[in-house]
Amino acid sequence: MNAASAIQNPRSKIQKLKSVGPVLMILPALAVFVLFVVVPFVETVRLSFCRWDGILEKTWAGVANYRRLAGDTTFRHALLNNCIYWWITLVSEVSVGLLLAALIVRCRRNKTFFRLALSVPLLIALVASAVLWRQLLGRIPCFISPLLVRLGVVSEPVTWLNPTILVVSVSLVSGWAYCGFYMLLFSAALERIPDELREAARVDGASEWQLFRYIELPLLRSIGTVAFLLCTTGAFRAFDLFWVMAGPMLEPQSEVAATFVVKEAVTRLERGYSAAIAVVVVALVVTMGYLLSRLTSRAKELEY
Amino acid sequence: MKVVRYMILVAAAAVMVFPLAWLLLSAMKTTAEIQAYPFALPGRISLRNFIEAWRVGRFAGHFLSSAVVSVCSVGGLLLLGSMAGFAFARFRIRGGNLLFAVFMIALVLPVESIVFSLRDLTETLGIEDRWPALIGPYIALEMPLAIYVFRSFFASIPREMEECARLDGCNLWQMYWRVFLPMAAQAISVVGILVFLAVWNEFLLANFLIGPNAEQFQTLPAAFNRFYGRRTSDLNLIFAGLSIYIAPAVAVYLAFSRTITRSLAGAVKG
Repeated sequence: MNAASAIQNPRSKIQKLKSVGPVLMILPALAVFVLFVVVPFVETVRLSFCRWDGILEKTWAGVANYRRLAGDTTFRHALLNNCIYWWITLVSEVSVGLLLAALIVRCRRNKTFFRLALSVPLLIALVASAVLWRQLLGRIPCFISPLLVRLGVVSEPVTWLNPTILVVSVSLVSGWAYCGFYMLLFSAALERIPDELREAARVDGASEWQLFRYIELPLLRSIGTVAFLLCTTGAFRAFDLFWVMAGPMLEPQSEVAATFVVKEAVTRLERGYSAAIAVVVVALVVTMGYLLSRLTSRAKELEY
Repeated sequence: MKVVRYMILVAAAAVMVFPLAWLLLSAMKTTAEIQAYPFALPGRISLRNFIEAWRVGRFAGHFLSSAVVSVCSVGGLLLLGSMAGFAFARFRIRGGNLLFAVFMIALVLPVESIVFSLRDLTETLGIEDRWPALIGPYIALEMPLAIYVFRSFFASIPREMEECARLDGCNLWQMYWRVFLPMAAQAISVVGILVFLAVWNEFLLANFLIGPNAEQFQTLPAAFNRFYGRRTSDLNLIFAGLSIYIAPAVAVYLAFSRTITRSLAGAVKG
């Protein structure tokens, strides 16, 4: 009995602590999070209903900022650019990453070497990549220019840094910077597929393409959804590459949502309008993120 | 088939590494050489540009800023994030799921939506243009990732461990500090590396929370962008500065590549 109560005693103590203790352990994290994320965000939402130049008194403006936003062609252009960036990076980051991962997993040797070489850009700050590529792209001919002329996107041959096609250049540079990340992501998933499975399929006469299409791809579905989610939400948050690669002359046609928010606040001192844009972008990203994560949780995990 | 495969991979690796090699070679040329023959080899190997760029860009101070901000952010985050992750994983808390969901929404929050409000907030708190103005927001913004990784890690530890600790008379804090945290080396390295990279390279907040009035306190991304804006015509200094800027990251990467590649892939798997 004695021994039992000795065990019981600390237990009941813990039980009591259970109610308060864990909450206390979350509290510091929550406090920092509320102070530096929730409070500023609420303030942004409040500001979006005001007119404010950042210095003088704030005046209540109701939904005027949002109404103005609905008719703003630059904003529409910015969102379109975000979408173009999103679609191109789905190829230049995610698909290229998948392709590279699928090729590397088939190598007998040098796997580590290729993974290392292909993921080096991941470590480099986007600001640095942007400056480096700005210099490099200014010195190599724009080989997609004839194609763009034929498609009617531009009327005469352009350089990579031309404002009209800057979004394309940035998307490609973004592919350079991030395809290594998706390569690592897919590699981890592909490595978990046992080699016997591939051998068995090959013995049965499957081509490498069939092997990829019918055996590997279905197994990558859940990680693929995660990659899609990351690429999508990332596409509507892009800032660094656009800001630095465009340089001080960021033209309206190469604007994206994030640069638009910053420009309205810093250059035009329209803090209220800038806040309204930010709120709309957040709503958009969170909605997309939510819908896609629902998709992820529903995607059935296939395992071998 | 095998040949094609290798050819594609070698070509891809070349595309990845070429800009960096070009950068390093250009950093040793003069501006005139870069303008005239951008893809030629440098006439002679010299470190003059690097020394000049280091001095003109005041890189020493900015490296210090970046180091202080990154170390404080990572340290604070590992402590607070692991505590919260532990509590979320091992205890039922009223409203805990809702709270966790709020943290997760912040994973996709566009930073531009809070940057200017943060600037006002730091001014109210009297920490504007100083390191804490960056450290606080960095800890807060990376908190969702840390809590997510630590929660999934601590949730995977068998219940017996917790019961043993209780029988041995551990209180809640001891259970966290003495039993669970020492087992979490893997989660700590994943969070540590990811957050360090994110903070070391972060630009938007760095550019506005430590403004032009306090240039000497700016971290590398913001400082480099300013340096680039001012010296646009001194190509030799830009390339040398760029090399100085990215060299440590690449060196660290080559040294810890195995851990890093595993962390980058592991973080999303959870």
